[in-house]
This record gives sequence, structure tokens and C-alpha cells, in this order.
Amino acid sequence: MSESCNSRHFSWLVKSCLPNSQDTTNALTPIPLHSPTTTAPTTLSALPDDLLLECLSRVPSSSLPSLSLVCRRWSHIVHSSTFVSLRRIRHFHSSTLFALSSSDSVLFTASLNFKHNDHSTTHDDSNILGDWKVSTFITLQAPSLIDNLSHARLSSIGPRIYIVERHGVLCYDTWTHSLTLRSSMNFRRKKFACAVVSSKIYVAGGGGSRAPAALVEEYDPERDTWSVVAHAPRRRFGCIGAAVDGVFYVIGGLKIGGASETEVPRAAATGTEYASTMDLYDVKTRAWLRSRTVPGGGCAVAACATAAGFVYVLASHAVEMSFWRFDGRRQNGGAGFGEWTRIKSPPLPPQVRVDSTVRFSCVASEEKVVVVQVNGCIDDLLRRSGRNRRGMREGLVLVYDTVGGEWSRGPDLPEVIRRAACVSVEC
Amino acid sequence: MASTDDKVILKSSEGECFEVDMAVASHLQIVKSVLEDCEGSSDKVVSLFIVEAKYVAMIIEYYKNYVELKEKHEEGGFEEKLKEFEKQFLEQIDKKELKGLVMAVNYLNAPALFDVVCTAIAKHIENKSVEYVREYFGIVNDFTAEEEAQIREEHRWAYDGVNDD
Repeated sequence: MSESCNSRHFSWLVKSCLPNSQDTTNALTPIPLHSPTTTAPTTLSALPDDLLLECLSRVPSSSLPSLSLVCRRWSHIVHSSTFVSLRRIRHFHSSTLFALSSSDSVLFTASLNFKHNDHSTTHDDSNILGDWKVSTFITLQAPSLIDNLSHARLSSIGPRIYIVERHGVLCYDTWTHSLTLRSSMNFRRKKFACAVVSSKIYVAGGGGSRAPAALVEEYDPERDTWSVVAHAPRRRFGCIGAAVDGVFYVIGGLKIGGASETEVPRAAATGTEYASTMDLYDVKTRAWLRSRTVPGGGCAVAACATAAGFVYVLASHAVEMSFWRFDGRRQNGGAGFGEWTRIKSPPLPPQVRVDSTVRFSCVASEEKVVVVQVNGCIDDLLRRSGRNRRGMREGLVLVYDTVGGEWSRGPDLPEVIRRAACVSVEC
Repeated sequence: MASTDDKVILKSSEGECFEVDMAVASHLQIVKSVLEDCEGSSDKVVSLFIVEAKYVAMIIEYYKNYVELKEKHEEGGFEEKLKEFEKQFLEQIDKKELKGLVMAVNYLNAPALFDVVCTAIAKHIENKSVEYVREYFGIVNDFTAEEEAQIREEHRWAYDGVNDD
């Protein structure tokens, strides 16, 4: 509560004792911002924006979609970043994991609600509420855009999911279930890093015909524009993006050595050298922080950020898969900033690596990190290695509770969702 | 104006005076900070120029009960009792007053009651049709006819399964 109180206007309080001249909060500027005088209209519609925001942010998630239909002002309010952050502060928001896939110009979406870890529930409860809801499939207006969603990067801002792909950008509104075409990136890239900082999308790295790897682009969803904001210190292909505390992390990928652009796909095909580093871009100051090493020396295969201020990285190299977290908290002095901690690996058979056969997507929300097996069959992998025991089928969903430090298994990804791209939506 | 040490006088916009225990008034952050500023002054009258008497009365009633319940249920059960009282408290406030109250409470910076009132307004929106919300809030639909038609098509579900009132 205190955050919202500090900004309050004390200006209309007039007291009968002499005001303290040094106290600026008590300055006698008679600007009645929201004065409930007798002449003011008495309907609730006359509430000023900040109070309306306070009221609307307390409405349960299930009723939010219809709020956006009431009028333009309300629609604007419930889509604002302030609204989302206010709900987060108040613990009114709910998180939903979305898995999107496409087939024959049809988009499939499956959603899974996260359970709130409030004080009344214990940590050994199931982490996830209910089962997957395979909701909609939409005939795409622009089918060529997402023939294969597994190459797309998903970002969510409020209730909207942005599907960023080499050929274009689509916006899927999870409230209205509508799909709209947005502006494409300035540079066509694939296998790039993508993350959201302060309601804007940032992309970096990747390969393409015009070698955009060194350029960082920013997308402003309100204006529907892309612009180049920085040059990356390294060029990476197949890198992964994350964001914590105003920093855009460009993690891992393959090193792109040659000056010539055409070398990019070749490097990928021959699977040369993994970049075991990550670059940190501070969005606010538009500056690069010191690059960090990614532990394990392998390739970072999945990375994500949580509200708790950590970047979680699933790394895979010759011997094993490992799970790490990076302390990305820079506020309050940032004492632990930059520290890597190895944490419990996901419960997967030791044979599992991240290669072309089995692929994982990793998303986070509040206290949960979810690893979703989006491609490949672990069972096959085990058989090939001579084992004959029953493997886990495709679509494994593993949930890591960052508070309890334990893994649990969520409901498997529905059959219909193949080669999915995943994102967590908070609103 | 003479008053005992633990009393303070709140003056509404109409000039009506309310004598209140400090324990109650200190929940209003703005009153608290004013009194801290002029500590040592014998004059303990705070003029709330823009708050009508009826809202001052409501706010005092709420915090009076809040303080009493807290004292009575120190060992526990306070939150349940407070919830009970809040329910009664809200029942006697109509929607016009709710708006005035939220403004007044916001101005006086009283976090607990602010939360109660905002939640009450949010409850009125929960699971209601778009039309109901518009009427309740006195909002004029400013979407164009085409937009409205398109929205209805896309949101058919949003108009189903809502409470009637």
C-alpha cells in the first residue's frame, strides 16, 4: 500500500495551525486534482484514472476480458502496464502458461493455469491448477507467417501474446481470442533472442540474409513500430532471451565468427562452437553491462526470468544436463547480482541431451519455472541407447518450485499441440 | 479550542466538527502527518476542506470499529470480526456514496479502508455484463457501431453466463 500512498497529493489539506514552511508535502497549492466537492458528478464514471485503476485492479481475472469492452478509457486502463504491475503488487494477477502450435494454417492454443501460492496452501500441493485447456483454433489470415511455430519466439505483455517470427509478427489477444497482424522486424532473423522489458519487446542475435545478429531491435506495441536501439558485443545464432530488472539477457547460442553473412547457416549446420557466455543489455541506460559466463560450458538451451529476479538456465553439454540460476537482482545494492547457483536438475533420464531430437521450452511465472518438452520423444531416445524401459512420452511438463526447490510433474502437453512455442501470460 | 491530548477535531467541508480519539485519527495518514508537523501546538483541529461531513462520519465509524475490534480481539479472530463489520458497513452505503467515499478515503490516505472500498467497487463489476457495468458506472459507450458489432462477434462468450443484476 505504501508505494501508492507516497505519490498522493497532500496539497489540499489545510490545517488551522501554522504550516511548517520546510515541509514541502504540505505546500498550499490549491489544485484539487480529485476533489469530491458537492458539485462533482456523482456517478462512478467520474472517478479519476488512478482511483479507477485501483478499483479495476481488484477485479478477478475471469471478469477482466469484459472490462476491456466497456469503453475506450477502460480498455486503455486494463491494457496498461501500470494495471498489470499493480495487480502483481496486490497478488491479484493470475499466471497462465500458453502453448501455441500451428498446423495447416490453423493456430492451436493450449492454456494451463498456475495455482497461486498464497499462505493458505502448502508447497507440497500440486503446483498447477486443473488441466490443459485446448481453447481455440483460428484460421490464420496470414498462413505463411506461422507455418512452424517452433521457430517463433513468444513474448507476452499483459493479456497479449506476441508471436515474433522471421516473416512477421502476430498479436494474439488471450482475452478476445483474436489474432492481428503487426509490423515485422526491420531485419529478418531466425533463432534469435527475445524478451520483454517495461512492456517493450527486445530482440537480438539470430541469423538471416542481412546478418542482423549484431543489432538489437526494440518493439513498441502501442505504436506498432520496430527500431534499432543497440549493437551487440557478440553475434550469436540460436541464442535465448530473458529479462530481469530492466536487463535484457542474450544468452548462449552459436558463435558467429566470420565477417561474411553467408557463414551463418553454415556455422549452424556444422554445429561448431557454442558460446558459453551471455550479454547483458541495460534497457534504461542503453548500455551493455559486463558479459558473463554461462556455467557448464555447454549451450544454454532454455532460459527464463522470474519475478523473483533470477534467470534460470537449462544447460546441456556432453555429459549431462544441468539447471542453473543467475541472480539478476540489481535493486537494493544488488549484493548477490551476477552469482550463479547450480540447482536441482529436472527429473529427466540421464540420456536426455538437448539436441535435434528432444527440445524443451522453458517459461517462468512468479515462483514457478516450467520446462515443457516441445519436441522429440524421450522413449525413442532410451530405446536407441539399448534400454528397454518405458520412457516418458512427448509433451512432458516439469514444474520447478523456486521456493521449495523441488520439481513436480504437471499435466502433459495435449496431443494436438505439436512443436509448440510457450509463454507465460500474467494479467 | 481546548482539547485533551488524545483527542483531535476533524472539520468537514461544511464546517462540522468531529471529535475523534487520536487512536482512530492516526489511521488517516494525512491527519497523522499534519499533527506530527505541528507537534507541541495546542491547537488540534484539522480542516478537511474537501470532505463532506457524511464521509467524515463514515470514515470515523469504520476506524472506530477497527480500533475497538483490534483491542477486543488481540489474541486472534480480529480479521474475521473486521470482515463481518466491513460487510455491514458497506451495506449501508449506496453507489453514489461509494464514489464519494473512495475519493475521500484516497484523499485522507487511509490504506485499510481504501482497500475495502475499492474491493467493494470491484465486487460490483465481478461477473457482470458489459451493459450492467456501463449502467452502474454511468459510462457512455464510446465505441463506434462497427467496433461494437465486431467486439460482440469476438466476445460472444463475454455476454453469456453473467449474473442478471
